[in-house]
Amino acid sequence: MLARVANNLYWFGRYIERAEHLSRYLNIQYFSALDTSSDLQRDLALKSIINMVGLEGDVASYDFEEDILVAVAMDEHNNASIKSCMHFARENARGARDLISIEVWNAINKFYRFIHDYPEDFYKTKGLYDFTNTTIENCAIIKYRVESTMLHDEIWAFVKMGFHIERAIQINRILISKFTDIDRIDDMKVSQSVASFQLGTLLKSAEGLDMYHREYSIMPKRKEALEFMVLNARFPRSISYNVTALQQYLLLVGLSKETKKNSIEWSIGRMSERLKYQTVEEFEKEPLVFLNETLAYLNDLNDLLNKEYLNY
Amino acid sequence: MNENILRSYDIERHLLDEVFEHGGDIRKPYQRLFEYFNKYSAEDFKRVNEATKLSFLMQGITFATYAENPKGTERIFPFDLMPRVITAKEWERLEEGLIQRNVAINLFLKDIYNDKKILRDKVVPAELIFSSANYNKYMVDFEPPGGVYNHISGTDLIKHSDGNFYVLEDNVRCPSGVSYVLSNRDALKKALSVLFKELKVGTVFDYPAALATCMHSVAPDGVDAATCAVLTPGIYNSAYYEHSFLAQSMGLELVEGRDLFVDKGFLYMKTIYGKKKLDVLYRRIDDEFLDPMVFNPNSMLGVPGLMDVYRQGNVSLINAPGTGASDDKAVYSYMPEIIKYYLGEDAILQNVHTYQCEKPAEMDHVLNHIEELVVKPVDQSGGYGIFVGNCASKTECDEMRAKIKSDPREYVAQPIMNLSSHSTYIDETSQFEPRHVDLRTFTLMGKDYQFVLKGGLTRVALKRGSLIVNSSQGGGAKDTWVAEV
Repeated sequence: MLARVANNLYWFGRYIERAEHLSRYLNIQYFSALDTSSDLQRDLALKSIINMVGLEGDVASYDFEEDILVAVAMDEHNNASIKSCMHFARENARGARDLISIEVWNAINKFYRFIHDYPEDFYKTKGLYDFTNTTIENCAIIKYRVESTMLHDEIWAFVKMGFHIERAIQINRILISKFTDIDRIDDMKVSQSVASFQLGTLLKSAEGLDMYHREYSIMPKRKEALEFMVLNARFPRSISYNVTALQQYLLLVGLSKETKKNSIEWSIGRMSERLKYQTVEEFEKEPLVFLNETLAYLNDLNDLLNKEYLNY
Repeated sequence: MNENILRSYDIERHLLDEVFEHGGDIRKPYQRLFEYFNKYSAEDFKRVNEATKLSFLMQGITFATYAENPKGTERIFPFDLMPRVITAKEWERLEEGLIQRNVAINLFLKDIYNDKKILRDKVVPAELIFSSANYNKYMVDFEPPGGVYNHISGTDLIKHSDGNFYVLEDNVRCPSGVSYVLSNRDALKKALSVLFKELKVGTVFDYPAALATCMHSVAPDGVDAATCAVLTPGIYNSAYYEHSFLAQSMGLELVEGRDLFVDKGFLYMKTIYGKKKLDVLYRRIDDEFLDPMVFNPNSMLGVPGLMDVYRQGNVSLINAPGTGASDDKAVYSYMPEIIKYYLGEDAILQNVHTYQCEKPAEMDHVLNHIEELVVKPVDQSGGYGIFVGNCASKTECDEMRAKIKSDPREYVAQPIMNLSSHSTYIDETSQFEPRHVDLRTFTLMGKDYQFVLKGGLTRVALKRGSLIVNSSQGGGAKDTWVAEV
């Protein structure tokens, strides 16, 4: 497989996964704050959305709430918006069009048309739920088609690596964003229920609240939520789960039997093992330090992958 | 006429309508189709038409323009649901003629780049070839692998009012459009499934396999299992859909110039595991951009050193560089002589009579009868620069005369051929109207291998009365059926 095309496939995977997480985050944050009476919660939600997407400026730099919602989802001049993600996902898929299945391509293209033609005015006033929810569903369809219609070979493995590294990164960003919110709340000395509410939206943002309940049978608590999202080996959205998955797909792609020191295989093997034996007690006091380190690690991993496989 | 989509069909009596006789009767090959279409109400037909268009959009079978929006505005190629029918018997003769013509073109190319016999024998004037911008000096004294130059030929035909097909032009550089034949067929099969069975329509889906066979047959000497690839300028090229479609349907890599490099006389592609040798390259970029070391030095699309590898016989290029020397419109007029010279046969397919402006007597005729002629620059493609005498103002005619006088080699002229017309669904009026059509055929030639795609791409000039069918200038397409009717 061409290195350039491997790069296209990897980024196709990353952008699809990114579009899904951004949509879900926007959806969950926005709607969870709607029925709270406190302005604080609503303000936090918007702030949190801006942080997560990586928009420039803060809440005050937007005249209207709708402007933030448009910037995040539909602004094609903002490369971080959901619309732009989908544009880049499709461009990358197009660059590898001859290698992905027609079913995958059709799913991407149909979804692209949906986003492309979505009326902005409708979105601003009535369409936010529909837009984000349809996006999440279409991402699921695309991923299912990747799974069920493509050969499970190295071409597929690059798409899968894109999914998993992006998911690990997005979960990491969500955690950073939410724990920053929670720290703010702690500083403000408001009631504990506000913090618990934030943990609930955190878990929902990873579609993990019901599975969290099954795992712990308690309301969301800081330590358990952190453990669940970072270390749980059976929850497909935990960071640990995704790092282990990345390791597997890398094995499928990698040719050499031995793992050289400082190679990407070596690096990810170490990280995967480390996360398996880490305990939440080791970082629950200062989760942001741990999370920022992990995020930096994941970005380095991306660089290593570039260097060893995608550099053309 | 009835009250639906064919309600006020207006037969232009001075032209050949392929569907209707002059008196308004349906021609025999179209009787079953007519019966079928006639059952549609205007409203139902509109719905089917919209659904078909939408399916092209959803599959991304589009071309993009970047003028209005930097991220691209996408459009579909207009596609007409009424197919064009060519009877199996009529087709047999066309196929024979296409092979004859393209075999002769291949022999001609081999000759003008090597022995130059036809030029020495003065059958074709030497200066006509040597003055051509498309005569490629890097091809002199060299024979490509398998002895094939024009692996893929797109011969454009028109049906004249006498009922015969004529050759309008040869395209042996990078003829495009074949993917639309296949995707149009796919769409039409869904819309008209009943008819396909009844009329025994010949398949077009054997094209990718035939092209792959053709590519393998011209692999460099000593290569057993050739690695083949399709070279594209990239996703922003308007024909990218076709490039990816062909690569995918043949199971080949779709490469860009930046994926390739030359090392010690061989061509390689950069893969995730390092370099891999390439043996046959179906390039969809023009000669000029192939190799910045010998052609356009600013080309970012090609591969430095590629021509060197080619001349060493270590890679096969499809089509060979320099084929443009045989398909310009001045050489075209010599095709009957060229066929006679190499094959000793009369041309099966007739040319449209062509006046060479560089011959003084013919130029005089052109200048005096310019209102009745079509004037074409010899080396332009895509329908650009075409002058149609009966549509031009007096000033425009005078301007054209001046251009011809200043550069006679640059122009040829042909009588205004009455391109046949065909019933075509027009969105604006929600009914069928006659529109001019031509036919692009596709002929493949490998080493000891020939193939003609059954039917081809029927191109439609969607503007009423227009003769220009190119998609870049408002043309659409029809599915073409070679059918036993």
